[in-house]
Amino acid sequence: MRDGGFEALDEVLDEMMQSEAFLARVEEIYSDYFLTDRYLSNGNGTPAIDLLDPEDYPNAYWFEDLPEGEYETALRFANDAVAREALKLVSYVVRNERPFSEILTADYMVVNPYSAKVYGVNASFQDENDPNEWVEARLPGIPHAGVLSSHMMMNRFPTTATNRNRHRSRKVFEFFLATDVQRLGDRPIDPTNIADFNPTMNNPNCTLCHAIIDPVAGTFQNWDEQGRFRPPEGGWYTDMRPPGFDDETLPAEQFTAGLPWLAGRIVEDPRFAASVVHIMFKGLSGQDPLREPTDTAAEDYLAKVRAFEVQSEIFGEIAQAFRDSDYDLRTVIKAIVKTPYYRAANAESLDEVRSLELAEVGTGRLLTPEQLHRKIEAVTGYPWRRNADGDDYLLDLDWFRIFYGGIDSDTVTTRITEPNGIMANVAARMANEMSCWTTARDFVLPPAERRMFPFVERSFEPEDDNGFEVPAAAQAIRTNIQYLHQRLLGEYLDLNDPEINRTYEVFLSVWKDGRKGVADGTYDAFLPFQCRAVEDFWTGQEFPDAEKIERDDRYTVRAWMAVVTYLMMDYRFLHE
Amino acid sequence: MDRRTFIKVCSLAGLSVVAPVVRGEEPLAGRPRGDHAPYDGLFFVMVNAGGGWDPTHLCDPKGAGSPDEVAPINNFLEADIEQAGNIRYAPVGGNAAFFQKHYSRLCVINGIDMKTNGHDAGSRHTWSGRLGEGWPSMSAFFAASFAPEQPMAFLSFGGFDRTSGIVARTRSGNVNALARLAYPERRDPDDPESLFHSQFALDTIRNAHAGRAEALLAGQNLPKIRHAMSTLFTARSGSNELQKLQEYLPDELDQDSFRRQVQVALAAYRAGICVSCNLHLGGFDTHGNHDAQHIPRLQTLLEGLDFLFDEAEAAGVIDRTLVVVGSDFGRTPGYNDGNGKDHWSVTSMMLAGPGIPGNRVIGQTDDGHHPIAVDPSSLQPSESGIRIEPKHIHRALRKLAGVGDSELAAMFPLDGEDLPLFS
Repeated sequence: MRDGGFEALDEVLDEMMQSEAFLARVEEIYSDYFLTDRYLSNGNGTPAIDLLDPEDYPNAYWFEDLPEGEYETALRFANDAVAREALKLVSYVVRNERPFSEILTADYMVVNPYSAKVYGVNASFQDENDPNEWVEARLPGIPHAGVLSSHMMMNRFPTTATNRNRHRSRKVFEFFLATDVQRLGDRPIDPTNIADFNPTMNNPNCTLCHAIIDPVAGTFQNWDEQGRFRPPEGGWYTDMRPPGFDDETLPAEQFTAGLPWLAGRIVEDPRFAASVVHIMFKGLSGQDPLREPTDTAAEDYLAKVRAFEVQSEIFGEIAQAFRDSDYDLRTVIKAIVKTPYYRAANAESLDEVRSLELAEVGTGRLLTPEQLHRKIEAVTGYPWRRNADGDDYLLDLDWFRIFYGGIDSDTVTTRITEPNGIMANVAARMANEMSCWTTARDFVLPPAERRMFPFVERSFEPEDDNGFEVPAAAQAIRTNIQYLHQRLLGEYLDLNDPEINRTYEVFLSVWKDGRKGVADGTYDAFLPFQCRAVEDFWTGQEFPDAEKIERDDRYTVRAWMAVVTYLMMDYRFLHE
Repeated sequence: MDRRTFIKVCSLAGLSVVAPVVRGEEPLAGRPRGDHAPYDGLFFVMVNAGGGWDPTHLCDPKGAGSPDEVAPINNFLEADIEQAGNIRYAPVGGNAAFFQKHYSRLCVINGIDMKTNGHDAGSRHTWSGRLGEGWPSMSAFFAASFAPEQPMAFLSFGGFDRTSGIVARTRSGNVNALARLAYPERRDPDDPESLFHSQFALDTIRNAHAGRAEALLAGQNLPKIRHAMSTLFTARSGSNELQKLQEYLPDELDQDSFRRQVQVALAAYRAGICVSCNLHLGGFDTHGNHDAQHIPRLQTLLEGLDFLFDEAEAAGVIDRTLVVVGSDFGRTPGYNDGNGKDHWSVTSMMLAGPGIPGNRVIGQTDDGHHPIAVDPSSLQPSESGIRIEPKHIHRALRKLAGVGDSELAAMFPLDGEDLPLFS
């Protein structure tokens, strides 16, 4: 791909976008908006199943009589399938290469074998025990409208008798129409001018926003505070604008199907495509799209306007291509990845004005806890977890997920995107622990199966006992360091690159000091207990004695541990 | 290599490695900046009542004229309103206990014109001093002004905590996991001998990182990537001070989440690694059943503030602790059909701390909870006067803290009159 240009990039992206990891990433990106992970079994909120009305779903707790062990598993699979229903619909649409607009227009929901029983719907599965198998299902009498009619979305963005679905409406504009309605209300309101009867209908301070959100709020009229389908017996409120969208009013005969009607209007609106571009851009780059500068008196106003206009034009083109592709999400991702906002790695020396214009170009994104978690396992072969059944340190709310800038979809809903002192320490502990736990373990494997050390053996020492270089060993060590720079940091460097030299020096000096220390008794000949390779990580099965690595008399394992720690704490390991 | 040496090395190399800077701009010359010495200046504590509190149930009380009044502004009577020193308060919940105990340290500012009743804009206006976007929160501003290099310079538990890139923001998770982070180089956090690497190896790795940081920055021109690199290198260079936090955390943290926020924030400040914090308590957006929900929430808030004052006093830092309490906006004068109260663009704030005159009430609202303009010199009601806005309070606090004319203040100016709020 490095020599193949955009065509090769397309091929790589096409392949990558067929993977489960890609679908998980799409879910993750929308999860930051939907925030329904609050209802997961290990979340901070009420478990999802508890939010379902037992009268509507009498079999919600179908697993209660299962034996211990099976019960807990079924509860978790069922609850989390209900909690993530909206997110799973998003990935289902992408997986099956449907138009992405179907996330709103789908006349179905998706269920796995466990949630199908919760809802009491008929659905057939290839494997009744596979929580990752998702199929379409329909709730009798419910006018489905993709994620709009999702139980969990309704609960996550609730309403009250006086709010009258305006909050839900505002979220529709924010998520699917690239419109922050509250920004329309940023202009000053004068409280002394609000004495009208029904100000949301009559007072100009209020009507600016309410004229936009109230009609959409009315299309949610059939869903109550708890997200139950309960068409209002007395009809919708007459003292607010009638249900509709934009200039169009919802026909009375469609009142029970207000959300499917709304979904159809939204996906026809050009702002829907723009919203997808914005959300994907934020998900991929970590940055919000630029907003039009408003301070005309600011010194940098013109430079910021230029930056905004360029980005708007590029995003507009991507949105158009998205529509032209019949809403193929992969089109958006490929296009964003090819923009300078994502790909630019460096620039010639910039003056002040040019710096402002290029302020948002390039990706300097700190990986999220979820991304870093996946990257660690991808490069080392093991997750950052003490043992196979342990907690994932970067994903678990009781460990480092919040400290590392993550969210809990409950009280913490925005990510920290720039590292602080604590996050630096999280990264340091990760690098130290992963180098300790995985270095010796990797050497247990045959070279062809190793993730990190395919070009060296523990016996490879860079110098002999007289301090003379051993050329073949030194060359192999350099080659392995070159490989680690590529594997861990994405750097393709020549063997004589200064950065290869720098890393080699880390290896060489730690090895020299260590070898001397072991010889004179300063250091132990054994590896620290936690850093020894004595059993298989996944099975806990002990290695045969001959394969165990417990001693490090020549200090090469610890020298490689130092190299791995050094690289895993690097800017390029922690950033995208 | 410690932070000071790191900065020095980079400076010698002509590099700009400082605390996070506004992207695309050079670091601020002369910005007040500490070093590895523990921070022991003012401790800025912002307390956010999330969702929009009701000042008429708190420090700007409005009661009904009689029990028979149709559509009263509140369900308590005007005649029952109580007073502690000069501060009047609503006769509900935990108000009496709080105000009678703390009135002498409190400065109440009523009749603040928020100019919005949207949550995001209101919260932003209260805590950044500006209705529009782009300015940092007050906590971020003070943290960046005094010791941005400290590892928990700005500790946020929620609320409006935008930084505009001037300081790193830290969120607290499970503090019980902090020990493992305080000593990332130890296998067992409690055993200083249990290092993953030899001390020699640790020093070698650290020096190699510094050299690589220098090389990466020297070869990078895109401002966004330079900014990301600088931020990481700075965060890393100050990270060891996290160990100090361990010394000040109580053995057992309180079960109540707001009190726990207080404990962690005070420990971080006492450890010398924290300048400012956002404490956050939500649940004030009571569109339905207002009294039953809102009054207990206010009581929880006041009990938390009482805990904060007591703990700060016990720790001997009360004379350096500046507390600002505010919310998104106020709530409508009167109840809706669901006995709730909706959004209202007039609010109050309460302040306490060094330089803040206690037992004082500034600003007024009329019977319908509309703001009354004040004379900018005397702060007395004046028809030709001005309405108090968040920017006035921010300006006064900046001045009080001695950074009203700093370069950061110039970068994030708040146009408006200088009101003698704390004179």
